[in-house]
Amino acid sequence: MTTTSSELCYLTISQAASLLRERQLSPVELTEAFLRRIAAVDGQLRAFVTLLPERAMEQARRTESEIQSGRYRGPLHGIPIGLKDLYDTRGILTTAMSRVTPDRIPDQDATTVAKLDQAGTILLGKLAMHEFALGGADPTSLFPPARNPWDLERIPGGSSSGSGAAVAAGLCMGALGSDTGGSIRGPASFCSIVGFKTTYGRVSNYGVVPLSWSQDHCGPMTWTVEDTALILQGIAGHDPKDPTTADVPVPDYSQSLVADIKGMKIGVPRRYFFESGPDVEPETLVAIEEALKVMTSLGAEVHDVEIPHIEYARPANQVIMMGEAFAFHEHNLKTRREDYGEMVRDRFLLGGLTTMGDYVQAQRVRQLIKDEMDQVLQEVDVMVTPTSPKPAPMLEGYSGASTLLGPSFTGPFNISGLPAISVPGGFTSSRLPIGLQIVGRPFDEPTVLRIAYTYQQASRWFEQRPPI
Amino acid sequence: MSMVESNSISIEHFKAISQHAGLEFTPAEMEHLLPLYQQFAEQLEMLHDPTLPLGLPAVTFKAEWDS
Repeated sequence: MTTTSSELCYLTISQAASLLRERQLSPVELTEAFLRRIAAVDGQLRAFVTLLPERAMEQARRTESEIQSGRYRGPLHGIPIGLKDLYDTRGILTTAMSRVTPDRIPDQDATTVAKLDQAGTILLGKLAMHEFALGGADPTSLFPPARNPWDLERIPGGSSSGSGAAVAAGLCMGALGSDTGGSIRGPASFCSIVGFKTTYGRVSNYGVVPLSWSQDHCGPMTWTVEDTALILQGIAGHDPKDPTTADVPVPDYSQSLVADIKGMKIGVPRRYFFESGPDVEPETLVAIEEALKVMTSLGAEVHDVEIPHIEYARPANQVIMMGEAFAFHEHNLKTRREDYGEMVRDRFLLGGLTTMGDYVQAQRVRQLIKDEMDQVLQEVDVMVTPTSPKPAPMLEGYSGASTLLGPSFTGPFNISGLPAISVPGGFTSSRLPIGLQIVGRPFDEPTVLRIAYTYQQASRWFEQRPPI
Repeated sequence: MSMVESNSISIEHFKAISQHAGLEFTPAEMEHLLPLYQQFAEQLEMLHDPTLPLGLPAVTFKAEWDS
């Protein structure tokens, strides 16, 4: 292999898998390249909170021996990845970025972690996040906040902040994030990568520190749609340990990656997502309108659609999230409140101040909006929106208030549980990434992936890398 | 679509809400949390908006017993 170390870090999973399978690339060489790049740039990014160089190299050597002896397991075999630090990893520190659990070492793997291990991935380390997956980039949490590789003065989004930053900067080939109000799709949007929150019940949450049981979704974050399909294939499916998972057959996601959307119907819920006043950045809207033109030019039909009570999704998402989070953290909030970082503590305490009536109303509103989205998706194949109203904010002066106030373009699909992907959708004039969100019918991940892939191949935004 | 307007919440009212929830706050914590709660209360009030459709779904329970 004559590829340079830096080029190795910018291979996609799909490209690396072909080379590994054909024995043109050594998993040892690949893992070493990533460890070198992490050593070179992660001091600036702070994407990793626990690095596992010795373990990773041991895995890489074992992988090399397996592949050499003809025991190639599949497209994730030998692929270096990272995990958000709320995925339980047997024998490895799992802090959820909190001083409440600074030395927690689980005695078993999360189901998704075990599946990726079985598929042969190489774990480089655990990734930064917002404390307990809520609040914001809080300097008072256990580790310093991760930074955005497109602009180190900005946040990479959250709560899967390290996952977004690490994948974008070529510090790992893929990562797992978790998403309760947008925590996979937000960082994907801010870092110009792909992040997929699949249908509620599609991927097991077992062994993942919960934020809101009824809205938490685990999912992949990668450079391209193809790579997202590969990781999703590795983690999707019913899990007897997680009663919220659905016993629905898992299709072959890579088969859905056909660059053809002729005749597909795309719904645009313009009123809320495009006309929310000053909260929406004009350059974001221009980029998404351009994306819709691209889809039209590829043969899709674009229609305006209406979700009548979409404004109420934000409070429903928040109340359910904070109420369920308070229930999980109540004891610690009453006995060791000072161990929580300020941003997440505030939000958890607000959850404790909601009433039974608030929570019940939130659940009823949730059902109302879910029904309205079902109605829309009987008329169109998918909905398309911006992923975020604005590009990544500055770290300095960041209060996390945006996670409490203002419109959310991602949370509505946590309350409905519909599959929603964010793909790179362009850049502002200041070279900040913009994300495009595609939302599909329940368990119709293949259609979402197909449209995302078609747009990706036409737009080629994924070819641009951050200047770090 | 109308939104319910929020009223300002006094520190005494906030203290009562906190105590009802079983949470004890120091005066400094109360001062810090009250403005946030004030903002959050606007969202809570939206959920009780009387203009929401009368046919708003009920909370349901699916009895899925293992046989």
